[in-house]
Amino acid sequence: MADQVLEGSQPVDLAKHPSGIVPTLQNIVSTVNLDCKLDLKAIALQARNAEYNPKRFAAVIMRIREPKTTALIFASGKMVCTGAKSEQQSKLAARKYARIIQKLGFPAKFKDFKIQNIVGSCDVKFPIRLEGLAYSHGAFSSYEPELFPGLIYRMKQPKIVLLIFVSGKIVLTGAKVRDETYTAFENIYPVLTEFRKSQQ
Amino acid sequence: MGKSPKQYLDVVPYSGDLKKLGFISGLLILIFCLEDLGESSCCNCFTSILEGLLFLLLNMATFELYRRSTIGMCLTETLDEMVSNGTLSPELAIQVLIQFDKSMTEALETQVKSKVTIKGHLHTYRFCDNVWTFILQDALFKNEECQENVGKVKIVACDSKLLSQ
Repeated sequence: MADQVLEGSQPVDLAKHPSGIVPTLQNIVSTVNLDCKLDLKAIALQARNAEYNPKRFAAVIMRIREPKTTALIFASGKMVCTGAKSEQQSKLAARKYARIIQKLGFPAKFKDFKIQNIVGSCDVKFPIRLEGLAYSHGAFSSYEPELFPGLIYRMKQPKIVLLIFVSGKIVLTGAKVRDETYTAFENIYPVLTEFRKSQQ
Repeated sequence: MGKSPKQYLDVVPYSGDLKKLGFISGLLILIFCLEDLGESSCCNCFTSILEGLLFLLLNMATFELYRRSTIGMCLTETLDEMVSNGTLSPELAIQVLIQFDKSMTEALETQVKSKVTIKGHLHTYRFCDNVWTFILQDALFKNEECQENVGKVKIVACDSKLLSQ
């Protein structure tokens, strides 16, 4: 445990993360309303790094390198920004996309920015008995190794979905704020230790 | 000319905007409109007329993008010269260009076996009107015999399946 606490550059706040592990944020999805109708074809023709194939999908797909993200831009003026690693980066990226749209001559605003989903992941560094966990937490768990190798754990409070793998790797998704991810992990951690696979 | 990749691909050293694509995109949009109508229309007669029209259009359809290759530019220049000094009628010159489009497409499909790989830093990409545009920096062109470095290159590509659908 001690080496986990020392892991990373700054020490882990054990009051907030009793497990000593802080899930890493991997993806943030945010939405914003640019509040003006957009001519997607004009955008695709003028902007760089844009894809527009209306037969496939009714939005322009645009990418920027910093923060490395992808945006879906709809004719209604609504935009989805994905791929950022933090809330601030997601907002910064969304602002950059809005600025690009403005530079193309549209009166784009920046209304109702909202983080829609946060995905985090971590590694507890011990193997887990998924069958046992699925059996004792049947109400929350779905484990069908023939369909998917991970156990899907639908936590009620906070409302977070966790993917738990035999290897001890965990994915947490569904959070609107990062603390939900952290709380969900601290809730599940004692359960994971309970179902730790004893190595032969 | 040696077997430089330029001969086999429509690779134009980056020089401003490519304006030749208007015709192609217009044509493809027209084709898609007809298809959409054909699928949703309940009137069979109307549909078959549309299909006939589509068939005609597709048989005539070629990409004009090879006109921007070195060989295409040379041909265009020569034709221009011949038209301006009266040895060739403008109609015939246009016919020659259309034949060039067809022959280029056919020759690249059937006669060119050599493969070229292109590797570089993707500066910009775009997909609009079924046309991909890539601007590469420090691209390395490689085929069996030679390789060549290009500082900045623009690649314009269309899906040839769109012509034979």
